[in-house]
Amino acid sequence: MTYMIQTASRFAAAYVLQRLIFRIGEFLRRWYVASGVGIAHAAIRRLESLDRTFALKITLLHFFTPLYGDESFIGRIFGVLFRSVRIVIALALYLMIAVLALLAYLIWALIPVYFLAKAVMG
Amino acid sequence: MDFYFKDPRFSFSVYGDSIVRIIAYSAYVFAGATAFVLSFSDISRLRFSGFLLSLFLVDRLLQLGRGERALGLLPGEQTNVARSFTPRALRALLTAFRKTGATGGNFYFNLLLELLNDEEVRHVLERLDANPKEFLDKALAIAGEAKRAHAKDALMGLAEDAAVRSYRNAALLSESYVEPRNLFASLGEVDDPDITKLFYLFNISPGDAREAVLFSRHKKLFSGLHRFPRHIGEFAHIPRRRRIRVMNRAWTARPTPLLDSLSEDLSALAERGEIGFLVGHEREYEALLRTIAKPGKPNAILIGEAGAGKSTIIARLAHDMVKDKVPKTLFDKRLISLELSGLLSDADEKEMSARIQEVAREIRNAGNIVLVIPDAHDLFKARSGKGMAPIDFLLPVVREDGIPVICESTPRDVKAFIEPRSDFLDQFEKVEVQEISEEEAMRYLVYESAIIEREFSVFVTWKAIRRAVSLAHRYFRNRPLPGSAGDLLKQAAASAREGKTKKLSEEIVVRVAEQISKIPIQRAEGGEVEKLLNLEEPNLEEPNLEELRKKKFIMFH
Repeated sequence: MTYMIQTASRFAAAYVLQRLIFRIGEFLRRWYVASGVGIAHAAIRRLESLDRTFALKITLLHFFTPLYGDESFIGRIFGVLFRSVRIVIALALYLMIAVLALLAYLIWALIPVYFLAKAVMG
Repeated sequence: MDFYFKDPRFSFSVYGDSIVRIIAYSAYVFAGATAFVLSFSDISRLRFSGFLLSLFLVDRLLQLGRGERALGLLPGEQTNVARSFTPRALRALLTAFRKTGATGGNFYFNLLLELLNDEEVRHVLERLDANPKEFLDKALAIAGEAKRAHAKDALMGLAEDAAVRSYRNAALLSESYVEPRNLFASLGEVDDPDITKLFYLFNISPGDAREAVLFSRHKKLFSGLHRFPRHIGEFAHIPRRRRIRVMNRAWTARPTPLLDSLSEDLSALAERGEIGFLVGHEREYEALLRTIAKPGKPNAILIGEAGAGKSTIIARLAHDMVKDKVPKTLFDKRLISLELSGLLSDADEKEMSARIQEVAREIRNAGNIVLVIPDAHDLFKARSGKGMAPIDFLLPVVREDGIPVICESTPRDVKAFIEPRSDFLDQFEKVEVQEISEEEAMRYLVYESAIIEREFSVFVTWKAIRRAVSLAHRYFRNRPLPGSAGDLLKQAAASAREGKTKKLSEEIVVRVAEQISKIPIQRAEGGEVEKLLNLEEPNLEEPNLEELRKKKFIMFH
């Protein structure tokens, strides 16, 4: 009986140790990989949602097309003008979201490193 | 792909497993207390150690109840399905494994008894119109009588078999992890006479168990919606904000005031999330999309009986156009459904001609319109039987290459009105819309039942849905599926509410179907079956001879 409990305890201790290492690895994977993917997806969703309004690619494709089918000189000039403004705003917003997402990930990634550094070095 | 099941705990003794659990739980309690105390320490080093430990523990808390890896994230070729099991599912499997190893008996029954402790499995049983307590009692009774006991050395193989089956079930139902309900559904498929007998007694087929799991899971998803759909079209997507786009995003379109006043903007409806839900009709939808996206004559005519799903297919197209899930040629366009009553009413031939020509001009100038003409055959009916028909004025638009036109009509009307006009029909590619299958109708009704449950305050069982579809398909042929089955289910729900019944069972559906069809549909049971089978020679002494004849006819047809 005692031998059985001793053997079981040895197996159990080895298993728990192995699980602890696995859990730490999983924590790091989720913190750095899964969270990164999550932030990237959120940023892409936001960009897609914005692009449904700004339609960067389609605006570039129709850059010289007259505004709202107005073939007059004014329509053509306004088309280029308004689309230029739209492209500038869109690019600025897209860039801002990309930078914010990158910053968010960097801060997120640094949290455990910062805690660890403070815990070790004080 | 090769599936196997491997978890070290299955090789542990009971002592070993208990020790592991004691150590693990104690370690978590100790770590939690340490993290709490350290986080409030005045010493900076200790405080940050506490924060770090807290991060780890919060992450563990967030992962509670999940498996190690989601189904879609498991590596290919050699897949250890144990990694996708939730702790609850793994615990049920492990307990059944241990119990059978220690006390003998039937492994599958031990697993079933374990699973019946799970609330979700009990919910699945309720959806299957089986009382969980009665099911448990019967399972215990059969387990007591069962002769079949599993040998200890075969146990691991059986556990692996159950695990792999449940993994496949979970994958089929697009679950994230293998849950106890998947283990339950997979039990319906195992080759064990006692388990088969139990499921048979409750009239549950393996397919039923699988669909009921899907049904119960859908209900859980519906409860998480931030705004519950008012009608079935809204299941396509629930918008967070309502923004209606009249002009296109390229800023090239022109306004269409007259067309807007004489039509329904399907894109706007889809944008608001009111339409776009589609089950089945994949082939027809693909054909429609292919036709209207092609260069040349992008015109399609959907031909199908009323209620076959023509409008639903078009609504799906509106949804996909709004979501930009369409080929390039349809990108950034509006789907507009012409209201023929408005277009043709209160106008003599001259006015109507002017109106149609103005609409045609607007469509041409706008350049972003995909035109839908419902009941297109109405355009072929000339006023007072003489003169020009409305289609003669609209034909130039149809003939134009860049304007996709989708017409809807029924086979009878196509034959009567459209086929004689080959100049019109030549411009179109026919897409025949067939009634959806019973399986698809059931899947559709799973969604609709969520709305029925809210509207009538009844609990709809899977068997009620299955029965409604089969009865509607057989007896109510005046309307195609799923509309006929949906109507029957709604009437049965209303009847259940009137009868102060909380559960909509298949019996109520059958009773309501009998009332509507005036045909005795009730399943023939017991001695009646024998009577029916022996009804070759008319027994004039039989008091319900006519009714039995009807039942026999139904039984064999």
